[in-house]
Amino acid sequence: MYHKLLLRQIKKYLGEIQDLDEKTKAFLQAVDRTYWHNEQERKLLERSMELSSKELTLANEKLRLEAENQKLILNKLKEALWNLRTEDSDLKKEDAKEEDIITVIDSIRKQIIQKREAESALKESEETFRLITTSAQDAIMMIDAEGNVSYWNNAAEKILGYKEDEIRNRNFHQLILPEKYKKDFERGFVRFRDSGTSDYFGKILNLEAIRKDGKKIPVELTISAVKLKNQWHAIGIMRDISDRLRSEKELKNLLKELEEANNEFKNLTYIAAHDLKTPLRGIATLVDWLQMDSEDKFNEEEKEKLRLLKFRVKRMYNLIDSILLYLKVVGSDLKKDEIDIQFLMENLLKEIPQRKNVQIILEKKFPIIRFDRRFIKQVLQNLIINAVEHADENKGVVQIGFEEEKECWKFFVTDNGKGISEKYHAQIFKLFRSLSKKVDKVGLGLPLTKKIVENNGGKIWLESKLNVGTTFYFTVPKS
Amino acid sequence: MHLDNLSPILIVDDDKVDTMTIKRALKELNVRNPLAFAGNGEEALAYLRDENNRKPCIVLLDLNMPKMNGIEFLKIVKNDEYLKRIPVVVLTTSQEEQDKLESFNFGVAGYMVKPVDYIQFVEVMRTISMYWTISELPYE
Repeated sequence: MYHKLLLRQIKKYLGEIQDLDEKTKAFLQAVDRTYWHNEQERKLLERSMELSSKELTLANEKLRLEAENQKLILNKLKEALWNLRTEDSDLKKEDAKEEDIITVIDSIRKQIIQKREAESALKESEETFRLITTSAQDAIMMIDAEGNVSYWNNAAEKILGYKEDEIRNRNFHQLILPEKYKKDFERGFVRFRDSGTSDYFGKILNLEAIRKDGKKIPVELTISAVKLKNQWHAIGIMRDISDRLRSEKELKNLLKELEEANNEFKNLTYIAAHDLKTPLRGIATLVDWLQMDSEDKFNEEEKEKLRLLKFRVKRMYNLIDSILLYLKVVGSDLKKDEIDIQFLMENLLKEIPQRKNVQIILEKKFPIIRFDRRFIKQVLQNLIINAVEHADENKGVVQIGFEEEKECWKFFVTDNGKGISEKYHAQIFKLFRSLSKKVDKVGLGLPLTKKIVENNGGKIWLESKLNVGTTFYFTVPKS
Repeated sequence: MHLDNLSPILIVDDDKVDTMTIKRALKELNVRNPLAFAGNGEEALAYLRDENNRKPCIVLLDLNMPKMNGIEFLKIVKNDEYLKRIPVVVLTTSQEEQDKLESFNFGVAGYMVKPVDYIQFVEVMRTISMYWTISELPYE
């Protein structure tokens, strides 16, 4: 069978096939094979053409879809960036470009890092807070707006006996407060919940708390407020003061006992000293009478013995008087009054035992000072008597004067006697360390004087030069 | 001391030598009033409330005494309608502020500290005597 195109060409140019010779037929068969061959090739080509066109469409379609997807993603990304944009970013939702996106992503990454850092700092501070509250000796508690416990540290557990998971979300006031405070606290809590304020804030409240075991303990409680998630929470810090109260009580008792013992001792000293005076005065008086009434019956030796007896009795009497005065100075509160020293000095000089060849010079008119009225005379008397006694034997001079200083009066009493060696300057003011053995020198005069001056806020000291004289100074504050 | 020399002076003191000292000093000062003695506040009150005894013109009162001391005695006497006008002069060893305060709160007429020297003691008694010789007293 010839190819139909070849058949048409044969019919046109050669006529009917059966009329052709064998040679031509063989030639035409060869041509026919070529036709068929071409036909096959064309078909193959067509087929392959058809196939590739289909693929292309499909691929195209796929590409389009992908592009659309990408657009969607891009839009979503833009949306996300818009939402995430930082305050200072001027990125606009509509016209975000790739560079912008990179910038924003960068800034987001930075933000994420910052957030992580902040989180770790927060975590650290939370850890610190936890450590602090855990190691605190005071109970730290928080109650929420319902009055239920929302935080409870270790010390709270220790002090009140409840573990955190036992008390969390349970009503604090109901569990911990004794009946007598409940009403007040609950009323206060309503106000607190609404306004975040309370009369209890900023104060140390002394009250009792009930432990889990029912035992009441004395505590100090301070309360403050904190607003969390728009609700007021109360933070309480509670300290168990049982130990403190106990030791305070013990201390108080001890002090009381000590004071009693001290008072008893002072009274005993006072009474002993005082009661010695009456019999001593009796002895002195009896000696006086022996000397007066029976003078002619005693020989000189016996008279001397009586004088020695009287001397010792009087010395003892003076000692007791000084002790009593010392007790009075030490044990009494200061009472300052205005005192006219000029007036006092004039009267004092009349009382002071005079000595031959000793002249007392008052330098200038004395001021009015503030001093304890009961003891001022003692100070001046002691210093003047001392000076008169120690002044030069043949031409004694005692000078009494004062200088006005900015904040005090400085008084001085000077004698022109032998002076006091420096090594005695310190001991001269100590109890019972008198350098003399005279009747009225019992070793209390200068210590007493020092005590009085110091009680009145002043100082006392001496300056002395051997064979030139001694000056005692003392100060009296003006105010 | 005072008036007719017949009203007694009541000396309230528990110490024998002190009593002797007062007695001797008054004698030396030519005070001729009769002297009455009581060794403590109780005895003094008994004397004052005994109707056979003439009311004293003055009481010289020691403070530190057994049974009833001077302050306790003053508290009763100065609240007694009949006795409160008798002048009481405290004559004591005590220089305690508290004793002075309480004594004057009970309206004592004076507060003297007994001196250790007899001569000075006489001077104190002389002053008391002179003052109460001059001072007017109500009859009842």
